[in-house]
Amino acid sequence: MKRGKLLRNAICMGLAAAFAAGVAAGCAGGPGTVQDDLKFDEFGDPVFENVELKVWSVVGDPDDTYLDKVNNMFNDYYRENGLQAKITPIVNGDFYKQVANTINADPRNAPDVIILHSERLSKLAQDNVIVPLDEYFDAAKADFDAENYLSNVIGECYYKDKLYGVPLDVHAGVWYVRSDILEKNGLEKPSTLTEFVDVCNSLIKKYKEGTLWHRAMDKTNEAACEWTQNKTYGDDYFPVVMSKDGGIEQGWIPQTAVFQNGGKLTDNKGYPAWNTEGLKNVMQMFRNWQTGEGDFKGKAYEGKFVSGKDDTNTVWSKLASGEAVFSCEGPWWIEQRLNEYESILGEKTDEKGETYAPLDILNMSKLYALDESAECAGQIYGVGHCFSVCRTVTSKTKRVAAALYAQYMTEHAVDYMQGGHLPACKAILSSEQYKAKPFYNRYLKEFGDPENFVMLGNTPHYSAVYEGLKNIYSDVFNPNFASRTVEQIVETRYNNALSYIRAEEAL
Amino acid sequence: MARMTTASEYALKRSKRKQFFKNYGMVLLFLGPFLFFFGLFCIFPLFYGIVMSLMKYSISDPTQNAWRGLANFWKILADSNSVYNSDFWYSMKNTVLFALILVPLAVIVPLIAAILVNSEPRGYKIFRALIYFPAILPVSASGVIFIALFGTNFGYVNQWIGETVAWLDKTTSAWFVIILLCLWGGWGGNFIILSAGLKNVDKSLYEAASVDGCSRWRRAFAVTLPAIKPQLIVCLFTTIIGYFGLYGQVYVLTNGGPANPDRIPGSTATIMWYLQSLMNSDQYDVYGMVSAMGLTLGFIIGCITGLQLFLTRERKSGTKLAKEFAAYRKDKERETLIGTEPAEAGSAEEGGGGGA
Repeated sequence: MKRGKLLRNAICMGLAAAFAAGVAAGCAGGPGTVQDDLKFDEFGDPVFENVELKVWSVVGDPDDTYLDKVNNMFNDYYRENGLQAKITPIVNGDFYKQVANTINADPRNAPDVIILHSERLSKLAQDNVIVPLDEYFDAAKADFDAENYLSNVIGECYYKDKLYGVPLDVHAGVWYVRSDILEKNGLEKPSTLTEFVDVCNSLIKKYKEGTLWHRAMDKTNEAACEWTQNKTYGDDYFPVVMSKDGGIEQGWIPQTAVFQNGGKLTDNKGYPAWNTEGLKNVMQMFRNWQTGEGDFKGKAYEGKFVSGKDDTNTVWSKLASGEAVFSCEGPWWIEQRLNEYESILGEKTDEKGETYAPLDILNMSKLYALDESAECAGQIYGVGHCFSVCRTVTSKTKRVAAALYAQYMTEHAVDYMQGGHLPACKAILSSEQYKAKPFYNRYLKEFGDPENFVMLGNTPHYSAVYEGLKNIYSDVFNPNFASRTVEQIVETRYNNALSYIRAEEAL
Repeated sequence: MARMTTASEYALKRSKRKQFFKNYGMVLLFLGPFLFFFGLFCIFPLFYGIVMSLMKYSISDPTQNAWRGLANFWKILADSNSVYNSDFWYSMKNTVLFALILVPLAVIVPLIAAILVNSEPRGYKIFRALIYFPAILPVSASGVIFIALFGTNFGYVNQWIGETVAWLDKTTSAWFVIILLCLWGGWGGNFIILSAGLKNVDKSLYEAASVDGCSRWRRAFAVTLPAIKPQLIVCLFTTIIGYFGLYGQVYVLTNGGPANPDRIPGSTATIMWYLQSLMNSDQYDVYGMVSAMGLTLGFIIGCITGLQLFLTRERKSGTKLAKEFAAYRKDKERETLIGTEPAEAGSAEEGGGGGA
């Protein structure tokens, strides 16, 4: 009896201890205070003694190589001063979760600096993951000036009037175009929506007539790389690859459509504001491209522009096979793709002995503007990367070092732009060094004017705003929702986004 | 001034301590490591989860943590305006419907296979190995096999039937593929348990049933099933619990899709998928809500298994009475045997002698 009582007591005590530990762990924690250990040398410059910055970056393959180049330049420059930085790419899709988790649960292994997507900055600032940088630039007596950066890009790095990040670049999705097929068929690369529709109509018409010249890009099949007018792809020809789960294009096309038709993505509170008539009209147009029904400015379509069976696998494969002429992807692939296409098709001649440039890019300016003469028609939705400092950096010296690192990296990032990005720093944009780079003339200048890029807006409700809009694009192409009107789709997703924001706020 | 300890008090304390280690020393030695890790990885997280469920809990910023009492549970159970409420019950509905379809299949199909293999047809060992084989494959691997089978553009099934069916893009067909994968990947476990049960069924019962003129079906229902009832209960119990936690198959095949026009969780979102998607979102302060959902789910599973145990309990009017009666008769016979022992012994001796 007594033994039983003893055991019972022990179990109860164990459970009570576990409960107490649970309560303690649940309520524990808190941001540490910043230790003022900053020292200056006789010239008034901050002194760093073996400061090594741990940098986590969301920039992955293929452009992380170019970022490393700039980082190496920084390390060379600051080696004598005892300041170094090491970048670790975290590109498994868990970057933001991993940062938040590590900062809270394992601060010793947390990064000092993170390179993140600037549209997510407000959320991270609100969640106290990153800290304002202004005072550390002041403390470093650095010549940092926000005016040196494009105002549309650095604007997204502010949260509650404080600067939380230094912008590195801005970029947008681009259309990869089979310029050889266009040229061979006497067509020109479009630069407006009307021209885009006309080109697609012409391609379909020619294919139906059996007069469309096309060829594949296939290093394993030499014969497929020869020009032909055969109906290789069946009865229908779909010149554009757009899919409900294609991924990357959902992140740029509907957003750009909102801007080019006079709308904006967020309101002053950071709530979604994209449920505009302009968006609905463009989405209806996309649906018509999939069904082949309806008309564009009173002119009927020659056929379906989009197959309805496309997915992530077909984005590149259909472009390569010549089955499509336009395919949307991230700008960071541009150099690799150009090299690949040019090495296989660049020297190939047609029956007249002529060669054709096989691949080109098309930025989204004016591609979704229903009124091409409107002032906003040239706007492009852009996203960027920026540098921020994590709150777990408790040494003022290290925070100053991190701020200087961010400034250096963004002001000397010429080589990084090779990966398909446009600089956020005005000094780089206007520099001769940048304009003399082969990659600038080869493809960067085709990306459009970075001052025309419009960002998401400072919203801590990134997911609800951004993902909600992406879902509209998917829904419009989803055959399961064919019975729903575009109006219904947009309004349902808009109300959903608001419901999720309200639920978050009411937690 | 401190009280002096007398020699007898010291001796008593010392002997108590010695006695304690004598009584519990071995128990602590053998159970101690287990109890330590059980406490660390089961009890502590459970209490931690309970505390989190009563809070607004942020993984990024502890200063945002705030006591909410039962507010999270209230939202889940009663606040129909909250998307947490509607999404939770939507995913729960999907899970329950899935379990209602799959659990009977996941017990009956292996049972039939076990009965067939137990009759030991030619090559039954190969069948046994083949049936269990899918169970050794990880869900990710078997998921990849099923994607290869049911893919829209390059799937083998579409190639065989010569159609382009978007199996994983339509709600019904996506559920069909998920159920098929669960059944294929999961029947080996139940098959082994039921086969072991069948092996242990007393053969004399079948002989007796045959003598009584039972058909093969009658024997299966009147002898086999009652004899393997404990194994069937184990299978039912583990299958229900297992499939209420359905996640891997959904994640690999559809990732919760196809898309749902009215909400974020897709048409095949199960409750575990929903909880996981909340944790994977960029909302860092949702962990209190997720903990409350997890505990609610645990409570619901507890209720279902409790109900199941209640319904499958041994009833007094069932075998218990029969066993008591058998024991009573045995006692009676023994008593009778003791009462007649000398005479029987004598007659036995006589019989033996006569035989010799």
